[in-house]
Amino acid sequence: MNRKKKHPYLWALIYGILLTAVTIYALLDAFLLPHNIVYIDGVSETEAVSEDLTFDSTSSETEEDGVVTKEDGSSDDGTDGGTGEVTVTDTSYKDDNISITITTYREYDTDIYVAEIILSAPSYLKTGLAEGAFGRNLKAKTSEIAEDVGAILAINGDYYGYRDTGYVMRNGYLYRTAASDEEGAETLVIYEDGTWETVYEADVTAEELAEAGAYQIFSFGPTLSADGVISVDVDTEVEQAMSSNPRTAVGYISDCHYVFVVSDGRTDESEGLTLYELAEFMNNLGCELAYNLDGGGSSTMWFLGSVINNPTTNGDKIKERSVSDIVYIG
Amino acid sequence: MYISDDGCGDPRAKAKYKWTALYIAVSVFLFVFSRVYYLYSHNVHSPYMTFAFAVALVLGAFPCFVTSFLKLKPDGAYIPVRLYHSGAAAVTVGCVLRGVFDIAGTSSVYQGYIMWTGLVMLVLGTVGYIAAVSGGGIKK
Repeated sequence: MNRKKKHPYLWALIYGILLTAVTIYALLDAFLLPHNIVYIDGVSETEAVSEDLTFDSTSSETEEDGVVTKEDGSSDDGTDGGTGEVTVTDTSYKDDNISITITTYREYDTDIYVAEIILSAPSYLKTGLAEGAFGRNLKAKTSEIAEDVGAILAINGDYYGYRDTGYVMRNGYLYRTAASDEEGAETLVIYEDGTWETVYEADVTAEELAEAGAYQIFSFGPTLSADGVISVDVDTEVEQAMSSNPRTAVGYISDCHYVFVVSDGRTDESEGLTLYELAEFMNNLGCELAYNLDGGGSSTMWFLGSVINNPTTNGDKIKERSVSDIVYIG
Repeated sequence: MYISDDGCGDPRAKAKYKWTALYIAVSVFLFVFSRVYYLYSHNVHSPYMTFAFAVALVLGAFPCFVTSFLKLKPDGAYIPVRLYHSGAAAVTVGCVLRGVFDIAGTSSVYQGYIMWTGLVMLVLGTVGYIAAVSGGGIKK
């Protein structure tokens, strides 16, 4: 008997199973399986904030008109002369080194949350990683990472763990040196001296940036505005996204004066922003440099224990998405 | 699902365009799939997802139709034909995967492996088929 006719579809069956298995593994590799994990020995991702933010400390505190003021005589920046006074409201935080004011705007049929940040030193702007480690598909909610690192204010980062390329440097440690494979990929570099700059990854290596004193490197983009000029046009979008979405962005106004911006979107209450609208908004805030971070369902702003925006992936449920990293003040 | 050019129930006629019909069915499925996927992708699109159906048409339905129409069935083409079909399937799957990853904003090296393996099988299958046609007899 002709072997071909005896088992005419054997090859198709075996090959089909094999192709299906490889496809499933490719999907798991891309979306689920953690790998390329790097732990930093001796560097804790949890840094205690000297001020007690739970309001149950033994230090003296007064409350007037909803403003809690504490005096515990401590200061975490090693400087002399700080009063140690911490003033906290639902929308603001102030101590000797950090001042945060959160304002909600309503523009473009969208709620936009702006945290204006003034620091005594650029080192108070930090980044945190999910599970305290670098790696593909290591994820946690922005609120969880923020709690772990003792943040005062936090937003989601560039979700580096969703890709295998793009420079990643966090708190001075260079984790990934592979340049982004996207054409014209722009990277935000925050230097130790507090200056910000955006560069094209094709023009400079991660090692060169590290040598130049980079402290944080984010690989998402694009640059929204620079020197008061909007850098995107109405047709510019992230990858092939063509519509209004929740957004996250960071902006540099002046030395140690920054803004974190998160917008809602994909809901009946908030339409979301196009990149151009976001750029326009950041420019109107007075940013010398504004940079787009991961948006969509990732967009989250967390402040002193609460998520203050409405994160959503599909618009039908308000729920935080797990992300790989955050940018925080603390 | 058969396409018979004379409709008389001749088994050979029924089987003649079987593969063409199968690839067309796959193309239709991929077209519908890409449209449905787009609806849930927050208006993010990828040319790989959008045109995956065309891959099945161009690499699958068209050459199968041509070989069936010309009634080509060369001796020694068993392996090249299976290699070709396997390659077409892999390339199509690779396109769909690439579309999924592009829309999600991520990537995986395995998608590239699938795609390149498929392309190699397509080339080997095509070369082997041409060699069989030109070198041996043809059953008609």
